Amino acid sequence: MGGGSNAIGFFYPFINDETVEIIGVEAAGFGVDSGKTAATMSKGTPGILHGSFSYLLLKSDEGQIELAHSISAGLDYPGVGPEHAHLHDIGRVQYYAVTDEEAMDAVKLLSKTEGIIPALETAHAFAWLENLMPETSEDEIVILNLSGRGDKDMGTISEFIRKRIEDN
Amino acid sequence: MNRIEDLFKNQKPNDKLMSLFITAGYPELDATVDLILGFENNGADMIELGMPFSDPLADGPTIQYSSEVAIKNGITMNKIFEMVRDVREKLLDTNNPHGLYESCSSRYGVDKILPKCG
Repeated sequence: MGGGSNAIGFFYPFINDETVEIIGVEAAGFGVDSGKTAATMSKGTPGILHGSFSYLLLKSDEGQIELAHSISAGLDYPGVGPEHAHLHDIGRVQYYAVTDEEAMDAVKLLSKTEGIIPALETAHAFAWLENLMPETSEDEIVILNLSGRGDKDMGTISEFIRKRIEDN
Repeated sequence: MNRIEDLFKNQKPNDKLMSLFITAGYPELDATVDLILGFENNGADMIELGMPFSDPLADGPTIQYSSEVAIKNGITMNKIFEMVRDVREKLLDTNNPHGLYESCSSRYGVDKILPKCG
């Protein structure tokens, strides 16, 4: 989740169905507390941006907006839609954060095992399955919103892999 | 009655009032002090101090640019309030309202800002 527009569209039909647990995964970038993140909800600082009161990445007590970071361009945003802030506050949706590295591992795993190249945005949700699946039982169904395809991210992905090889 | 209301009340018929806007802290705070005094010496009745905000999307390119430079040079609301307190003693009777974004005031606290705007 970045601003959360795709996610809210997916959540909406299930919000009143209490038998459905809803999870949103945001972009931690280099890590929630790294200073290079887009995980607005995990940071949890309320403020006003683009006309709405929600959770933001803020630099200071004077309300200046922090530059967001995520490997995924679609998640690289310092705010989040206020409906998500509300769903978070009332506890209807659980929000977690996944790093650039974890998202990139998920791209690789899904591409190799299923032949589906997920968008980097979607890859964050896939990465969270590693935490979620061990907690589910056989009769539970997990639906994941495959919000986009990764063809568009090939430049970013190959650059990331190149750097990773260089660093090791 | 506040100073702005006084200004309009005391306005003579057919007389014009001059109100000027300036981004506080552009390029640095000393320049703002000089400009405020210069504006007043040249007949400004009211000076609006823009509080630089990182995302001034209700403003045009000039204010966006000057805000960015001011923030990069380390301006903060506290520094502006201090400067205004000092410069107010040198002014004759010019008014200076502050223009700021709700993002800043909501974090800073409106109740903390208002006493500093005298």
